[in-house]
Amino acid sequence: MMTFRIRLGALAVSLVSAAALIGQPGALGAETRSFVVDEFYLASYFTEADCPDGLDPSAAEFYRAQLARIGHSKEEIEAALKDFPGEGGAAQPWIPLVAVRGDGKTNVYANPETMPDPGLKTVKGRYGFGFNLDGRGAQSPNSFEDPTTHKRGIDNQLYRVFGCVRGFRGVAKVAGEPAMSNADEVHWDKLKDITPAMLVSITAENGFGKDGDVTVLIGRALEPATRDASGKMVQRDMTYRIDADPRTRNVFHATMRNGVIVAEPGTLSLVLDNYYNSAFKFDHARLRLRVKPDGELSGMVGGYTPWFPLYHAMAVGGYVEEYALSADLPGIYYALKKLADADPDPRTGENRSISAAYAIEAVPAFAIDQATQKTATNNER
Amino acid sequence: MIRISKLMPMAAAAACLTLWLGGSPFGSGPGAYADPSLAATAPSAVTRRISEEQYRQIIADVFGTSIKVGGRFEPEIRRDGLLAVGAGQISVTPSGLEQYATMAHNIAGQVVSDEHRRTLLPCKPADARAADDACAKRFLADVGRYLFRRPLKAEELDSRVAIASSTAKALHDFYAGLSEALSTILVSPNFLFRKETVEPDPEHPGQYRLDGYSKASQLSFFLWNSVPDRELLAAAEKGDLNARDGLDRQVDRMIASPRLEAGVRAFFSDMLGFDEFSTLSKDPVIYPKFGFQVIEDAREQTLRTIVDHLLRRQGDYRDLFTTPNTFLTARLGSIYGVPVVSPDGWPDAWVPYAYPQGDPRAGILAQVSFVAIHAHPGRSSPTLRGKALRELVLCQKVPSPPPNVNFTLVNDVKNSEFKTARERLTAHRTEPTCAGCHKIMDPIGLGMENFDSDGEFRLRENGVAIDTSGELDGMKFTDPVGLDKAVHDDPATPACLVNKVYAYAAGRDPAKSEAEWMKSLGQSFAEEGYKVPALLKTIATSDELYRVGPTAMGAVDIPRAKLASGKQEEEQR
Repeated sequence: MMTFRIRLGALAVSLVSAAALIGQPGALGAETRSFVVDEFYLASYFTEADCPDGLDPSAAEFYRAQLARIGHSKEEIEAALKDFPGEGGAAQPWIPLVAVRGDGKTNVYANPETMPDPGLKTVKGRYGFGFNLDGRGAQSPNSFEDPTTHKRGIDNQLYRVFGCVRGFRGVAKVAGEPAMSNADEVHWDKLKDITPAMLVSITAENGFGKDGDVTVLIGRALEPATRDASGKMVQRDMTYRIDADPRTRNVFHATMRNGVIVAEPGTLSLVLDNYYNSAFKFDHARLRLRVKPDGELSGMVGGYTPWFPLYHAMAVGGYVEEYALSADLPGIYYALKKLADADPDPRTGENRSISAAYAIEAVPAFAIDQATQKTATNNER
Repeated sequence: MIRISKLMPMAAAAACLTLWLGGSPFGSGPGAYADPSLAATAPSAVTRRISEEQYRQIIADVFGTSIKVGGRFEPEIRRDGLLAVGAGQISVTPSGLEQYATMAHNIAGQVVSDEHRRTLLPCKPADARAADDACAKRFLADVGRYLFRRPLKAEELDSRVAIASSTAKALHDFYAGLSEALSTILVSPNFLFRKETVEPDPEHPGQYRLDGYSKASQLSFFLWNSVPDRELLAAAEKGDLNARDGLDRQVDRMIASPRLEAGVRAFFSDMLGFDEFSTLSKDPVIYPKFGFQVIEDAREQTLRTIVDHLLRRQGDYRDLFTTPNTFLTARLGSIYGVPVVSPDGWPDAWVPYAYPQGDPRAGILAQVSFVAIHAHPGRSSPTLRGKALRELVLCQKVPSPPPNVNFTLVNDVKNSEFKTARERLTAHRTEPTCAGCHKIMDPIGLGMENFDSDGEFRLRENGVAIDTSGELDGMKFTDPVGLDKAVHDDPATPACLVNKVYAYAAGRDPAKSEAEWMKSLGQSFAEEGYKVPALLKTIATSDELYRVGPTAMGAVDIPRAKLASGKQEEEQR
């Protein structure tokens, strides 16, 4: 068992160096810090210019259009939606209608293609956060320009899908930085309590005060994150065990320059809660992280992620997700399918993954590894 | 169902209680002496209200932990540094009695419920829809003996059997009747108060001592924080507790019992003022780690540390202030800045933890239970910590602050000129009215300034390095480790414990006439290597704990027959 992370200056307690964790020899002056993820959300950039065609309609408006399409009269529709969304759970009269609004008999969330594409409005703005995943820079079709660095060729089609959906918009805590959408705020808030915590353990070969080589371990804890007394934030300095399961351990080789850690492309896989979101998976994964003066970690994770699990995670919530987020799930399904930009299915040619970038905010923690030194990780295989 | 509230209004019941306690609203005390001059010097028998913790422990011991105790308890008061002493100076208000009555009915209802009656009742009624006096009597006599800490007198038992019978007949329900009768025991002053009964002391003519049952109670509340068990009551009944070997045998048995842990926990909770946990809170914006679970854990951490050190390791009491060994949860680890993981990963699990040699977080004074209780919600307080150390650990009284003190500067933690608590207090002490008392509190409290208000370790305040040097009664130190050692080495530390343990056991501060006895207790404690179980035994087996000075009728029960026999004995001598 090995312990990482150490604060408290002279009181530092480092039982075993992090280098042991990842099977690398320790270096003189190496320093390891561990963090537990407090926030993880789609990195979005909201301005008045990103949705020039306006935002998508509300769920009720989507429902009216689809119910009319399959033959319900205006009177029937208005009677069903009279008290929308109402209270009392599944007893509301609109629910049985909208759940089969594709063909009048099939569950539309499990079978979104029973409904025609309603044509969601998607982001058309110039700016977006993320990484140049395909390496084509400004030549990359449908790419964004980073609003802060002004680098071009940023691939983040997931933001393009969700950016004009009302429930997926939000306000950045700090101007010019990624904004957390209302949907992510609700979902992540739930996920924090039920899913294993996400851990980041960083070993800087020359210490965090100098440029140099860095190793980043991203793994899953064996326990959920613990909230602090406010109930909103994850508590600092708690101790977590890093799961030894190689399916959910990821090691990135990176460099630190001027305090910014940038990783070489790799694969990131985190097995999470089965109900809401069973896994985060990124191919061609990139990291850009920074340890802030207050000791917390901030940054971004990006890559190509399978899009169907994202849809499925929302579809299991069905109409509840729709009215809570003011969204049309079959519409999102079609948008994801249409804007997916990687991993073509060899049989159909349709892309199965979509470019994405997630903002990450983490607080200091202790991390105790459950693996032996020989444990393989995703990026070492 | 007939309720006590219908039989007697609570105000009237409370007035009766006052009469039962001896005519004084504060029960017994020095004022109970016929000769006032004796009150200042001679120890007195004491009538004490059982505490909330004792009430809960008794119900758990007599009926099992599955019986839930809900309700609001009357507030307790602290006298001479102990709630156990204050317990001899409080009564019950009408609203408090109402609460006791509600709790009693609730508990009695659970005891006779379908779920519990099979295991808790010694018999089954011939007909559950009718009265069964024999079965009721058997049950009430049995539990009454524990709850009153003595056998119920014939009239006490008969009246309750009658209540059980009449209620059962009225409601066609034996168990409802039994529940009603049991609840009258649970609201009786004989249960709610530990009223001592005395008898003439044949070895000290003219003096009185506690009788066997009161001795048993004295012992069990002292060592177990609960009522005597079957064996102790049997020893009391047989008169064994009046014989040296009989008393020794019982005390040895009680000290060897796992129930001693409850007694040690109760004593240190009282001594260290843990009742303040109930009102402890911190500003969550400044101290986001300090949630309610940390408060629960902090109390438990110190009690586990104490029990482990004093009972399991049989350690030197003074080493509690320097011991690196403790127990932590992950939440406490977060406060102290150390990794804590239980084998099964539950965040609430307790794991043993040992700090490295020389770590400033060693010892119980560095624990959240001390540094957070004795601090303000939004800032640390060297003054409160210094005062607490003087009063709780060293038994030195610190005067209250004068009125109209200007605390503006001390409270101004963002003051650009005075960045540390030391600087602010130094400026504050320029006021002559404040300087005298602060001189005895601040130099030791500043030694704990490495601990923020929530107990988190820190080296700097507002960017300035914290100076933790100071002095405790001539012993200089430079950091919390040095302060712990000074407390460890201070002769007042063990002397204070001896004083508090005896006061806790007797329910009163030692009288002036007991000065020599206290001195000998201190010597014996030192000779025994400052081992607390040895101190407990010395006190529990002493005559002094059971000796009662000349007393007036009303403060304590002196059976007439015994008074008469006492007079005869004196005349014979």
